[in-house]
This record gives sequence, structure tokens and C-alpha cells, in this order.
Amino acid sequence: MTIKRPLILLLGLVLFFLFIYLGPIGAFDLLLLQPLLNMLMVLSRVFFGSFGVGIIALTAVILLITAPLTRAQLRSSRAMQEVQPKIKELQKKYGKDKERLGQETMKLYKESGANPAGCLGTMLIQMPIWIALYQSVIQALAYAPENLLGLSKQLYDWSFIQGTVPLDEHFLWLDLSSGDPIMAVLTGVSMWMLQSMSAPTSVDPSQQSMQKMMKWMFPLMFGFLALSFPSGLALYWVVSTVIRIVLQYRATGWGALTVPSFGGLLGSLTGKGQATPGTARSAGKGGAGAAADDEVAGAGEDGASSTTPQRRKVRHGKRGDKRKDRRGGRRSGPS
Amino acid sequence: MFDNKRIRSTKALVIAILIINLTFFGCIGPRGWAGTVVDGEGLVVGSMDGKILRLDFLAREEERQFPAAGEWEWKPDSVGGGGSFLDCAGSGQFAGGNIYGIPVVVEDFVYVGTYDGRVFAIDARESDNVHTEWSYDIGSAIVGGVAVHNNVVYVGASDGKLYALDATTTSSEGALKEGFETFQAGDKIWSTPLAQGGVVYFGSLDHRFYAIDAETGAPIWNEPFKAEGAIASTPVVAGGVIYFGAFDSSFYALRAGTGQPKWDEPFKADNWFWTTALYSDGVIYAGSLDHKVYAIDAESGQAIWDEPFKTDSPLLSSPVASGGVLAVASENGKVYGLDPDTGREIWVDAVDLKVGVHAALAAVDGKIYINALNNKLYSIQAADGRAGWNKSLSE
Repeated sequence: MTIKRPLILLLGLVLFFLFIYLGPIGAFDLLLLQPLLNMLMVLSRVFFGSFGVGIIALTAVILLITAPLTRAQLRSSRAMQEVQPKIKELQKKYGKDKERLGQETMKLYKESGANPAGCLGTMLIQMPIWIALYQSVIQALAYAPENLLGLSKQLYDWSFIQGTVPLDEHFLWLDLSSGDPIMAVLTGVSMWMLQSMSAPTSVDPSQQSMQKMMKWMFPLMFGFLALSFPSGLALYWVVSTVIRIVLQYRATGWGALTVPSFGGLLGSLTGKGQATPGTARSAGKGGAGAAADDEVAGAGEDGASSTTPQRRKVRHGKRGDKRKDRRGGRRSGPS
Repeated sequence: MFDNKRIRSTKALVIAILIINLTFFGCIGPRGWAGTVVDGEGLVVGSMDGKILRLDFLAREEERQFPAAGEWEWKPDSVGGGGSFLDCAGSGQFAGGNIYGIPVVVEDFVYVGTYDGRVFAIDARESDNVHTEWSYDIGSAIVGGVAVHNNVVYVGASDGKLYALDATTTSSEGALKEGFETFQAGDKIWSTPLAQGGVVYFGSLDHRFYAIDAETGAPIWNEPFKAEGAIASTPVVAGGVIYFGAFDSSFYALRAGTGQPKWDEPFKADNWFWTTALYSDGVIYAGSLDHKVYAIDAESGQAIWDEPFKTDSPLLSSPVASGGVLAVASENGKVYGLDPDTGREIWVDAVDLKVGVHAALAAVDGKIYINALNNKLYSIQAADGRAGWNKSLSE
């Protein structure tokens, strides 16, 4: 702890001076964009000059590097989901006394180890990395002369890297510099799945409708963007989203993901409980459910808590229990 | 302390920033950087909105209303799809009629290739009746210019093919030259071909430099010359030697007959060579994206100046010489007047256009002409860098 603080301070100072000296864009380019872009070029060359494989490899590497942040984000959202039923109770109890409600909510957060701003912090840290990764893919594609000119300014002066220009735009059936309808669909579907899995189950009806809107709005929007942008970018979106789906699944199960018509099939394929629309959380929430994650199931309005222990075992196995124990330990500490 | 609504709105803000980044900053569409060519007592220039204009020197000096006598403007009948900020992928490869190359003027006909994949022959014999004589749709983006040789128009495209078109065809849709087999390179051809003595020379982004028969399209050399990097610069030829730069930061000299290197080692810079070099009195002047201008002995490949001239930004536009001054323009829009012998600045100060310059410069009669990225053509006195007239190309 004592070593960490000066290190963070030193890092902050270095960043501050870089920002002053180079400006925000210059510092961003130097610290994030250039390393990622050059790594992408190296990976593409290593993987037999395939830009498509390079994108997949770089996305995986970045997700691996940012895994601790992602884990923290997932843990935070999980903890938030867990306290939802208790918050509802508090709202019922102190609905009219806003001040007391606030105090009790804060107390609950503290006791349960949940931090409503927790995922926001990690999101803010990860955001520049994801922007840089996105910019790297776009710049490396260099489909127009202006882009290629921009690329020349970002590449390191290593012949190994310089020799990779231009990258091979063809990957599987894709021309990575052109929009592709299949990639647009894959982008939309994968993002919808992730949204469905990661959306916290709110007890507030107004929040629920907002979440529902977000669940559809983002996948549709990104699907449309994927149709308009080079498919190399869509490839990066799909790969990163699929990896996040896997991570999300490991952390919270299928969450609120529902695929009514295929729910049972999906459930039986994955062997995760008896997933049928009928057994899904209230009125079709949960579905594939079966999948419905333990904490969310507890939070559900159907009171399906009797199935919770069994689901937890199936879904998370020992890892899930260990996590639960750790949280329990922490909880008992400060309180 | 923790207000859920505030957190949600902050989250929405973060996502909005991401989306703004995606849509506005991620994708720079093709804009074009058309060059300028001297045509008698005037200039023919391409605009950034896909037009071709002829400007008369005298009319511009006297600031007459455009078009004055001898001046005209031509624009294609239609422009390929795309062009919106969302159309990053350009719905294939088309994103408008942007022009990157220098128009070629042959006997009052102007030939130009556009990014939407079309080659135009413009009949400009009567300035009040300038019209498209024919247009040939290649179907792939054209980034380099065209070369015209013996009534044949040669043009490379982003599909990696070098096309030969019949300049004299009577068909309004244009026609491929008979007996010429369209040449397929390994990657995009973004350099302007050089046609001379029955041979067409060009580089490709596949790192190779080709020489093919202008009549048949058959390769002339046993095998193409292979560089370490992509080739997008337009070659120049002098004394049976071809000079060009590449993205491996090297500048090459090849014997035109065999394709063998003339120099022991290529000349090395610190970044890519994209610009077309200038050959003058046994010296090659070339700008590099490393911000420097080099003077290279054409015979030995050695640097002539004590040190290269350093500018403030990359050099993409080709240098020109006029009245004993070597003029170069950097990407940031600074124009420098140099002594060709020493590489030292002649002008008191560089001219700052305050707008980017990518297009090749043109020079004639002691004046330098610059087509800048604000779609304006500037004239500058070569002797001292004094500003002359300027003309917006979008009006």
C-alpha cells in the first residue's frame, strides 16, 4: 500500500507533464494509439500477414490486459444486482422519508460491499484503451489515401512494421475495408446478447423500461454502424463482444438473456438447468435462462428464490461459491 | 453521495463520447488532392469537389470574374455514391468524385481519373462548350493520375489492375485499347503510371515496380523489381534511369531496360517517400514524410547537400523548380524557397498558407501554383515568396 501510492503519484505526474507537453491528442497517440497500432501491425505480420487474425489477436490481448478491470466491473455490477431486493424493501419502508432512505441505502451499499460508481470508474479507465484500439483498427485499414497518410505518422520506424503496409484486406469472406451485412447482423446480435446478460435487474419500472430501450437501441445502432463502416471494425466489435459474453457468463450466467423460441434448446445445449420459457423468471424474463443468474433470480419479482441454491451450483460451481465466501468475509469485516 | 440517476446519466455520457468518437473521429473519408498542370497561358486544376477548371493567368492577375475568356469549368454528370460521414466503407469503394492525380492535357483534351472509379476524357477545344467526350467506368477507386501516350490513356486502380483505354474512341462509354491485356498487379496501384518509349512504368502497393509493354501489356523485365515497402510515388525517368521512392523509406534508381538497380544501395530517409521526385540537372529532389527534403546525386545515389532541409511537417506534395528556386510545400501549408545547390532557404520567411497542402505544385514563368486543401489555388512569386492571386475552386 505504501509503495503503491508513490508509484501512482509518480505515474500521475508523468501523465500530467506529457499532457502539458504534447497536448491531450499527442499524449493519447504516444501512450495508447501508437503502441496498439504497432502491435496490431506486428500481430498481423506474425499471423502470416492476415489482418483479420491480427485484429482478433489484438482484441484478445487487450481484453487479457484489461481483465482485472473487467473483473472488477463485473463484480461491481453483480454486487449491485444482489442488493436490489433489499433496496426495494428499503424503498417500501422509507419511501416517504427521502433522507432516511438515502442513509439506509448508503448503509446497505457499505455493508454489502457494493459500489454504485464502481463500474463507472473501471469504465472510464477502459474507455481510452477501447478508443485507441478502435482507432488502431481504422487507421491500420487505411482504405483511403488520407488514412494511409495518417498511418505513416503513427508507425514505429522498424522495417518489420513498415514492411506490413498495406495490410491484406481479405479475411474469410470479408473485404475488411468494406461494410458487410453478415458482420452487421453478428455485431447487432452479439451486442444484444451482451446487453441482455449484463443489464442489471432494476426494481424500478421506469428504470426497467429504460433498460429495455437500451437493450435494443445499442445493438441496432452498432449493427447499422457496422453496415456503414469497414468490416474490419465490425470484426473487432464482434470478437470483443463475444469475449465479453464469455466473461459475463462466467461471472453472472446468462443474466436477463431471453430467447423465447430457442430458450429450451439453448438451455439443453448448454446443460444449464431446465431452460424453458415457462421456467424463466417472471413473465419471460430469464428464459434461456435458466440461465437466470443467482443474484438476479433472488431479485426477481417471481420470488423464485427456492431454486437459487441449485442454480448457483450449476452455474458457477466452486468458483461462484468461493466468490460468495470472499464477499461474505469482507462483509463481516467492516460492519 | 451515490445518486443512481447521476451515475446512469454519466454512463450515458461515456457511451455517447464513445459513439461520437466512432462516428466523427474514426473515419476520415477520401477528400482528394488534385494536382495542377500548366496549359499554355493558363492552368488546369482539379478541385476537391470533383471539378476540373481552367484558369487564365492574365484573367486571374486582373481578378476578372470567372470564367473569363479562355477559362472554363467542368464537372462530372454524376458523382458516385457515398460521401456521408457514416459512409466510411464507402459502400464498396466509392465515396464521391474526388481527384488525387494531376489532370493530363493533350491537344485541348483533358484526361482525369476519379476516386469513384471513372476515367474522363474532356473535350475543351471550345471553352464555352466543354463537355465529356467519353467516360470509362473502371469500377475501382483511382488514386494516381493517368498517363497518355500514343493516343492511349493508362491508369492504375485500387483493384490492382493497370488499364489501357483508347483515347480516340467515339463511344461515349469509353473503350479499352484493343490488343492490350489489362495487367494485374498484386495489390492496389496508387502511383501514376509513366509511359515513355513504348513502355509503361508503375509501382504498386504490393511492394513491386513493373515495366510493361505499352502495346500489349506484357511484362518487359524478367521479373518486377521488389522493394521492401509499398510503392505509391509516381516515377520519373531521366537518362534511361527510373527514379521513385517507397514506403520502406528508400529511394530507388533502376535501369529502365532491365529493372536492375543503378545505385549500390537505395537512398535512405527516415520515413516513407510518397511524393513524386523532381529531376533537374543530374540531381533528384525528393520530399519525404520524415519532414525533410533531400537532394540526391542521380548518378551515385549520394546526398548532395550537407544536410537535408527540414520542414515543419511531412512532405507529400512534389517539389518544383522555377527561376533558380526550389519550392517545396509541407503538409501543414508552409511553402519554402530553397537554393537547389545548397538546400538553404532563399526566401526571408516560409510562406504560411495556414492550410494543408498535399497536391503536387506547378511552376511556370517565375511563379509557383499551389492547390491547397481549402479548395483554393494560390500563386506565389518564386523569387521571393511574395503572395500573388488566389482563387477559390468551389465557387
